[in-house]
Amino acid sequence: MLVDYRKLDTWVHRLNPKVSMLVVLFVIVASIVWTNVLFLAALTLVLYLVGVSCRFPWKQIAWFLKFALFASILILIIQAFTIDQSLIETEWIRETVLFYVLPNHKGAVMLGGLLYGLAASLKIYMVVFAIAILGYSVPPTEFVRGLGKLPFASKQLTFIFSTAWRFIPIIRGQALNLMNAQKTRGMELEKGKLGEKLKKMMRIVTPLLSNSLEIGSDIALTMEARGFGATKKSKFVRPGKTSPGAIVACVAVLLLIAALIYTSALGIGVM
Amino acid sequence: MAEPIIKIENVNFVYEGSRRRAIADIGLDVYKGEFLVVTGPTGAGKSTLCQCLNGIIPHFTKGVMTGSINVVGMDTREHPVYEMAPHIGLVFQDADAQLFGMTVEEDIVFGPSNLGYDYEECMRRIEKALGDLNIEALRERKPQELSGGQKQSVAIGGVYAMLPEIIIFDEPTSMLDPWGKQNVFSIIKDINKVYGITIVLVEHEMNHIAKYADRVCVMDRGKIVLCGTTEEVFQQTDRLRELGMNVPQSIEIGNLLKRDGVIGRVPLSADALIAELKALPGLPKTPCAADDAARRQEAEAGPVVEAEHLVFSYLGETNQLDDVSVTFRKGDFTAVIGQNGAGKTTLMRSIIGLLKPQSGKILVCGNNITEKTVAELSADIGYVFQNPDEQIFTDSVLDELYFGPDNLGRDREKSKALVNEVLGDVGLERYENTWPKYLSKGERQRLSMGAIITMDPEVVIVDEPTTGQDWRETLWIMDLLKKLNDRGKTVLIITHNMEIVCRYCNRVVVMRGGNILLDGAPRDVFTEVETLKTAYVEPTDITRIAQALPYMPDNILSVQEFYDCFTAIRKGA
Repeated sequence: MLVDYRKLDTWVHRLNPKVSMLVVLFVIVASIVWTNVLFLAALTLVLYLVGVSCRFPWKQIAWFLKFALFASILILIIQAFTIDQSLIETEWIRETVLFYVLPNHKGAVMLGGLLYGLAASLKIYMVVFAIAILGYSVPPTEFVRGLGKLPFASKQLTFIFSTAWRFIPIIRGQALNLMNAQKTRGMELEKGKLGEKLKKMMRIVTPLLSNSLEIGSDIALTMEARGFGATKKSKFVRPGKTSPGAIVACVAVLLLIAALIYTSALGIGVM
Repeated sequence: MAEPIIKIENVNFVYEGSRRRAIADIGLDVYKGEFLVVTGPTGAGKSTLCQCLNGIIPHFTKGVMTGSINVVGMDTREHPVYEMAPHIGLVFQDADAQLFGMTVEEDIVFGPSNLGYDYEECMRRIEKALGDLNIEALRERKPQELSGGQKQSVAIGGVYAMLPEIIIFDEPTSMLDPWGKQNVFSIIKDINKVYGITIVLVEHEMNHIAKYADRVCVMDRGKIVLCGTTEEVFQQTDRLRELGMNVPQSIEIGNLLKRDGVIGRVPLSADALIAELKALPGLPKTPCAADDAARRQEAEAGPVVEAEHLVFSYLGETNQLDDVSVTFRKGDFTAVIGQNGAGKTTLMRSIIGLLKPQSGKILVCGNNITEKTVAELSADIGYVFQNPDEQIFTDSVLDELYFGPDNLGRDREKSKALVNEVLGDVGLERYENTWPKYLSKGERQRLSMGAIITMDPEVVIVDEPTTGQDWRETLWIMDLLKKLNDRGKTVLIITHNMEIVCRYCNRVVVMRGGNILLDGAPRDVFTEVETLKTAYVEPTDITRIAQALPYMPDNILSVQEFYDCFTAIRKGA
């Protein structure tokens, strides 16, 4: 998981979970329809500021940001050389060559390619920020309760989601214990070449997998003992009350999403 | 006579792929409102019997079952588990694996919602479970944030909310500390005595069995070998020992005193025995000094572990170690005791370098550990984790024993002698090429200890070596550590079992709130009753009984000591 839920009293935490989820939907749609770097950069900045205002623990996703930076550089390089020109609608951007890396006008680095690569990178950051802030500010129970209310979601689907959320920390804890146990048995996990490190990691994967299977089997037994399977659809649905303000906000975000799709069709936000 | 609520007739079960009968020729009636305890050594078939009662066997677990089980008039072979669930609930050993909800409330409603109850009925049952089990305060908590005892209470709540007529508990406290155990047993007792639910409890904590059970059945190798009222069963001390069971100290001494004609019948609890012995006439106050010269020998050897002014806290939390200084000398056999969260594991993990205290200094064999990695330190100090399944990595028992020495770069030929010796010590010679997962839990625990011993460290730390083990396995594990200690190794154990502390250790360190509260020989430490209470530590029953009697010394550690002293006083009187 990118980040865990933290119970805090910030304006983002106070938002109705449905509104928060719709805002994330807006960001995802924007990441699909927008290709203009300025639009994407502006939205990424807004999301960053939202994160700052709700005291989002950036350190926890530092590992991901580093990975994303590496991926961004890779995307930029690949796109700069290999961009499919038909993807860019603006003529001057499409045709501008920044420089050539090889003599005789070979190995052209295209402005369109660089911008396209930059846009792709920003999309990754944008979606990750949005989902991470959502996970940080909305209690997991709200997701599961929401899922349970959806007409198409079976009890099994809801159960899979909640069980995964519940057991991931247990598996993570086991992995940590296994690594610690290896260290106390003289294994230098941090030392060695990549191949050696991978080999050492395999020593952890096998017991982790076998322990996970055991937990899975125990869970299945316990579920049976608690009547799982007696009914197909649970009748236990909490009566949810959404405030008028939240309903207005939900409608507003839905309208924004519609507007976003419509304006992008007109070329707004598109490179 | 009333009709039994559970009727078991000549039941046998063989697991798929096995030839051995896991349970054999079981015939038993359980009556409404009864508190029946099923006990016996590990592998006796207790859990298999539990799973037969609610229909998991034969509907879920594959194998061949013969005979019949009738629960509230339903034949378990003809009704799937979910049809049995409203009538018979099952609480398992591992609380973590039976909590599915993202909050306690969500978890408790899991069963009732599966049974198809509507919102109002589900809410009524949640309220009842939270209220009756006194866990209302946990309602909004996440299961992963709860202590072991709280988790198990919630798991019980989840079953209780289905309002079954019978609840089976399969070793519900084997993974808990004494505080958690007490809490869970108190809940089980209330469910039976106050709310009238029939209880079938699988347990090998004999002290609790004696306190709560109406009837006890002892299983061994798949069969019921002893069954009767609690008093009848506990009178057969020798037979119980033969079966590898631990007899509560109060009953053991009660049996000896009854044999001598001191008391007429054996009380089933330490408190009842105290009352009886207090009422005996004509005993003077002449405490005899128990001889424990050997245990009192102070280890004069040099220090092997020196920790000075350790301070450690997890991010944003109160100090887990609050200026702790302690020295362990060569040849010490020390128990570190205290409530969960007292700082025991944090101290030990700091000593082996897994945790880095914010301040303080640790020397192991004279070397400052900050200069070494955990792997480098492992040559001097070994650490056996509580759960053997989190420290077994290889495909065979033999590979597991070579894993550590290989990592330390030791020559296989040179390691061979020690590995072979350890293989014998841990009793796994027959299994050297077996996949460790196929071993029993006790065998896996022994293997994980053996895997540390083959690294030949100066100090061996073992985190709760006997948790979840039956008495026979407990003694085997402790004897193994004693042998190691006799060879001059320093042994440190974290434990909640005071009986093994008195039996094996020459030193006890009591921790509370990140501090060392008491440090000394067991005979001295266990006399500090009031101080121990603040750390939620209770001496063994035999020490407690002696301390309650004005004519007995307050530092008795074993049944034999008590008996010898008591007999001497009686003769003197």
